[in-house]
Amino acid sequence: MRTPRWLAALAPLVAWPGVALAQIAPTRPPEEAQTPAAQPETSPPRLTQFVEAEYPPEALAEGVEGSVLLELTLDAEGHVTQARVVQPLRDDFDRAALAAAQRFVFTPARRDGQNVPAVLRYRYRFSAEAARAAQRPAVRAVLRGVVRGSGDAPLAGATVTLRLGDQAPREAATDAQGRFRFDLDATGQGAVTVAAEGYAPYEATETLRDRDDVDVVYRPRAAAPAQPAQGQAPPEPTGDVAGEATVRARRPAREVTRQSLDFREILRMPGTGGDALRAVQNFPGVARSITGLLIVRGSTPQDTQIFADGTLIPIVYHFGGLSSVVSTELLDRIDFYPGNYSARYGRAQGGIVDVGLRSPRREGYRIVGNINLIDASLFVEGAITRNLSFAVSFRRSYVDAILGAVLSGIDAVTITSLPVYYDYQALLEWRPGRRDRFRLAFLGSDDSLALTFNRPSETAPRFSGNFSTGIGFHTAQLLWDHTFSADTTSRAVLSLGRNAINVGGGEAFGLDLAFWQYTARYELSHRLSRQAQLHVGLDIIGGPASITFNGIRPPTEGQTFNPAQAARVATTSTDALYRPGAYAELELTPAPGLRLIPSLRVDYARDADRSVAVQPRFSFRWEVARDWFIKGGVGVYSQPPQPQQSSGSPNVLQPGTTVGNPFLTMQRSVHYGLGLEHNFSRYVSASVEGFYKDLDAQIVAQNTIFGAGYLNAGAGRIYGAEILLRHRPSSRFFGWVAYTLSRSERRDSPALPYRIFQFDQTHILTVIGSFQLGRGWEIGARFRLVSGQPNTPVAGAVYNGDTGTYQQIPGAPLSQRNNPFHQLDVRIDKTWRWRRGSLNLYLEVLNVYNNSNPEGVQYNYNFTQSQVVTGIPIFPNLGLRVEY
Amino acid sequence: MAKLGRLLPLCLLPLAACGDELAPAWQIRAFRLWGAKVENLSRAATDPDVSEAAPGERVRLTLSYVDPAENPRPLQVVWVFCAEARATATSFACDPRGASVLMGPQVEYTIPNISYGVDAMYRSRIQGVVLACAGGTVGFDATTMLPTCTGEGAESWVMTRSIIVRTAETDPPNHNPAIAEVVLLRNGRADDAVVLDEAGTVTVPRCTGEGCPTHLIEVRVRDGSRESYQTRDTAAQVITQTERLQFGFFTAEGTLDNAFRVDTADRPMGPIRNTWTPPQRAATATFYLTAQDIRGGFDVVRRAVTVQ
Repeated sequence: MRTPRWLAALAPLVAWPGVALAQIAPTRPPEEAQTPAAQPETSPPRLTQFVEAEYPPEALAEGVEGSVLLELTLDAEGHVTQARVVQPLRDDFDRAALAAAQRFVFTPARRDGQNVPAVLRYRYRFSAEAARAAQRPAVRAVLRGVVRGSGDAPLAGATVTLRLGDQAPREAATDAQGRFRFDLDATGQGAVTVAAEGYAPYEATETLRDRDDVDVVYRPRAAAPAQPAQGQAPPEPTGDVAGEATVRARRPAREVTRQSLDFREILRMPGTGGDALRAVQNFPGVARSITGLLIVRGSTPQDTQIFADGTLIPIVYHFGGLSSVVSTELLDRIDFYPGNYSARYGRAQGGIVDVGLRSPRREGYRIVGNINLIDASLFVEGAITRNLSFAVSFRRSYVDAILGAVLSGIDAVTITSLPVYYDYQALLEWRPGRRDRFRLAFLGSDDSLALTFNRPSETAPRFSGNFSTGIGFHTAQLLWDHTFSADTTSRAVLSLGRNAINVGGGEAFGLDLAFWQYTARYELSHRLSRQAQLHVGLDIIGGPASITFNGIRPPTEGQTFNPAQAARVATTSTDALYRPGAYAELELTPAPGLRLIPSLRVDYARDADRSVAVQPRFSFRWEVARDWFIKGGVGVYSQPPQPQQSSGSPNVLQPGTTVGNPFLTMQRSVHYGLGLEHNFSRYVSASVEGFYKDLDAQIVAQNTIFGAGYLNAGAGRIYGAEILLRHRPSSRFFGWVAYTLSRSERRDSPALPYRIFQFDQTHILTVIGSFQLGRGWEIGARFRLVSGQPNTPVAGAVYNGDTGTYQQIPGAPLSQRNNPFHQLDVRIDKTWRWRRGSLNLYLEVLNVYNNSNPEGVQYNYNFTQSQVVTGIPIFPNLGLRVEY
Repeated sequence: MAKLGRLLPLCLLPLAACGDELAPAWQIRAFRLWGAKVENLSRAATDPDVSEAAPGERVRLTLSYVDPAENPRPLQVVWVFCAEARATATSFACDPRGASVLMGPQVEYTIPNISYGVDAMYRSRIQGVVLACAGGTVGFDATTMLPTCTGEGAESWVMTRSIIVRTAETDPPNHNPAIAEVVLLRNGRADDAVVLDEAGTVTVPRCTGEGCPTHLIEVRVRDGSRESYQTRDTAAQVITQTERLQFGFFTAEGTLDNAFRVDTADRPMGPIRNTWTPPQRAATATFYLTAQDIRGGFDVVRRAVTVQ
């Protein structure tokens, strides 16, 4: 039988990957094929679903390879109805090839517009090398780049060494074009050294996350021409020694917007004290907050959740944002999602901060000490055995010692316990094989403060006496990463811990809350094809929460705190939280540069009247032209009430009533986002993103004595735009300009007009820049210009004869603003490096020009006089960081 | 230092810097209300000075105030009572049901016989709103159900005051605390203590450039003023507590350390003292001293010191 010529020309299409086309459309009369003028419109079948045959283990061990020629019979739907071996190789190969081929799917062959059956031949090739490669652990990240020398010429023969966490050092020699490449089966922070004859040793740090493809350029500096004479100090390394690392390409996140920081940006960012999580406050979409709360895209602080490798932690900063509760040295990554985030995150309608802890190093030891005027910390990591490594970090403040000395002469207050905070992290990581990683982590933090006021307040005398506050968490976490195959990975995280909050305010207020929190999270990721990857997961949080409370029912956002009129509540009770969730997310890349991510998340909250929230989400990212990206998303985000809001525990002060409202359901927010990104160069990028959030079923307090407590009666709308112009770290500079224009509004019931949100900030401008001056000197500055916080004016006051004090009558809620905030912070670093470590001395000065920024309004006893309360004056902080 | 101590809660947590001083509460510069004493007339014969009342019992309320103006304007006082407070975040209006309107600085009122829905141990309340109107005409706002004071140059002050209602005789009734005497410890010395009177017979030197002695003013309450009472803890268990009294010190002359002193639970109650620095001019320093138990009990006394 003849094969038409056109069919032979199409053979590569059908043959891929390895098909030998033999015959099609056997029902066609031979004579038709011999009459070109009468040739029908015919198209061959195309393989659309290829199934990998299992390589016979014995054959693989023996290194046997070859091919099996099969004949496949397809029905009119393109399914394989029959398969037979035409040219055998070996029984085990033949069986494997037949089994795989019977699961192939083709597009049907067509003739005259009709699907027709077909018979074709397929050569199944078995390659031992390819099979071994497939059995290797998946490449989790790629670090590649170019080393350039004098005159920016490629530097051939340089040795690039990468020390990545617990991995043995890897070495690569640059080729003639100065190129090198590492395919990595692990991620984390990597220490890179470049050695080349005639050049000074070059060092860099790279943060590599899952699926990162990082392209860098290193430019070591030519070595000093002569050695110093005896007795003279060696020349100090110049700033160029730090070299240049340019992120050229990273695999985009599953979210519309993910902001990440390089390690150098974290350590050197002015105004943050080298604290990674404080650096988050400088991103677009984050409002300024003096108390360290994260106010993301016009949402209340409670709407934003903070995770440490999937475990929810209750706080992110110590007192007022002095420092974060997780050591920067332990961080692998900080991902900040202001909105439209992945379905893997739930129970939050604001933003997400996800902190990833890195793997401790698997050879040698590393010690980092950090000391400044506020706190001191010590970090140690190292290897116990070849597969077992550890890291320990501890930090403690000594504000208590300083303040204690300052306040010891003040008779108005007796310091029972000055503000103290500490946090710790301990990690033990075990890698029994290349496919598994187990990590046991202990995370904890504690803040406490206790005072005795000897003189009663003039506006609330009963608040005299003891005042105390404490918040802390202690969590044990077990994490297991498993690689099933190159296409299938999983992560399981279990945690158990105790979160506690206690607040005492004289006789008037007392809160003691303890939550034994367990979390379980499991995510399975499977690559379905080159164009599709599926993530499915379970996410459970629960545990008993015991509460002892005596005080006023806490108001919700925007409500005036009016102790004389709000309902008093007293209770001792235990409620059990149980909030399971499940999600599925599909990553599709139907065309180069286009990613579509539909997802669905379902959450259940027993404490939210057993309600179920179904949350469909969708996001996309499309490279419309080289280095131009359009991104966007829309999704539903639900959040259960706070435990005290939905508590059905009896209020002992009013028989028949409860502390909260047990019939509350979940709050809901719909996120819309659309943005544009452009990479101007290797260093400079810009993004613009507009967002809109529609909030409903928001929980509001009925601020009356006879109110039912809390209701899902509130609504809100938030809209704005964020602009980020960013220069990633180069040899000399990093920085960004972030600007957010937004408006956030709420209403406490459908009958009320919208009002401004309590933390609304119309304009938020942050400008950050840091320059390396050479010889280990670096100087950076941060300038912020932010709209003033809204506040509620006082319309008058009424004397309360029951308490002997005046009680304010609030004016229109949040109808006026403080004056704008502006502040300049400067940081100067000097770094000395030696072979085994480095020493970094830094001076950070907050509020350099000592601007009196308004942070609030203080009134006299009868609210007839007021004065502005200003923020921190100029504040220098000197610190030292030693790494060995 | 004192200022820093007062502002410490605000300053500490956000490490905020704090501003200048505002007018202190102890300083009398204009008309001030001190409170209203509630006396149960129905029990006065057998149990005087009870500050609570059961439904159907009659109480007397006496308004205490000071007007330091040289020529005080005539003052009209209007009281509005309602059976239950319907307080909201923005209004002090009473529910019109069962509302009573009374006039004068001293009025008598009968507790209405209605159903009160609150645990007897925590008492129910009759909410009262008092309007003091100087130089104006008293009216009534039909919308807010509150009295008004209008007229050219008129000035008014509003006070809320509740009457504690006993719906069951579960424990002894509360009584008004009583300030027994006020003593001046000249130069802070206990061996130079003199009892103050309203006439200002006690004298002290004024503050001069050569010296500015400070004195202690000590308030002594009648025995039994700190009463025991029953309440419930957060687990709804009945417990017995002792009242913690709140004292107020107010004057127009000289300088006081602070406006308030409060008994605290965690410290043994010592003498109730306040530091007073005389003015630099000769004057009669009049002190208004209040005592409150925050369970409806109230007392106020006036004492004077002659500054030479």
